Amino acid sequence: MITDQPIDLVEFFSRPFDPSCGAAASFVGMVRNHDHGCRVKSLHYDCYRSMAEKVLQVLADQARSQWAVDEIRIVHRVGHLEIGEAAVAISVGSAHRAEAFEACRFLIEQIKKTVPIWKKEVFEDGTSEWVSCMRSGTSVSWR
Amino acid sequence: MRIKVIFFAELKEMFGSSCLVDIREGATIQDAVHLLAQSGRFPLNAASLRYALNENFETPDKKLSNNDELALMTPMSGG
Repeated sequence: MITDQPIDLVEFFSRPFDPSCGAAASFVGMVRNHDHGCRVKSLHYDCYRSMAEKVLQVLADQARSQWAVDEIRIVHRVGHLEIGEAAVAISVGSAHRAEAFEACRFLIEQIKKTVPIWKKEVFEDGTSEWVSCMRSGTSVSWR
Repeated sequence: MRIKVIFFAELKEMFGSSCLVDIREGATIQDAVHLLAQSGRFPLNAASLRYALNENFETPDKKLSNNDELALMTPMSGG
């Protein structure tokens, strides 16, 4: 699920799992105050929302087909985020812990690569930059 | 035929959120990118771009249809 509202982590993690679950593995991605030696002030996330929802569903389906997991919860926030705020939260419930850990790891790695969401870092010196476009060396060249 | 091209993130800042493109029948995603590049509105080197047609990832050789929504996307950076 994509939201432009703050993620309520207490609510997210306190929702009960199916009684068949003996394990829940969770991940939270938060806004940190630095990147590549630069002081980060805040982040802005842009999103192709309708497609992002579909890709998240596909990833959850892939995780379910690959591991014996019973429940998958994913929420990704977009818009303006301050330092320390949660950008993404994932929780995977399964009968045993190994599947939950592996599926949770798979989900966050795939979310970063395949869900149409983009983050822009706003630095303390007033500059800003879309992540992965310039600094990572994958830049697009323009005529 | 006419398609809608949509942009996000830094491409949206450069080109706006969308534009309409008139293109010949049978054209592909790659043809649309070339057309935009010729008009000076789009990156010529599109090697790092990903494409979605009507919300599904596609390769550049995918044929377009009238009223398609083509998303041209820089590498994603969610999470």
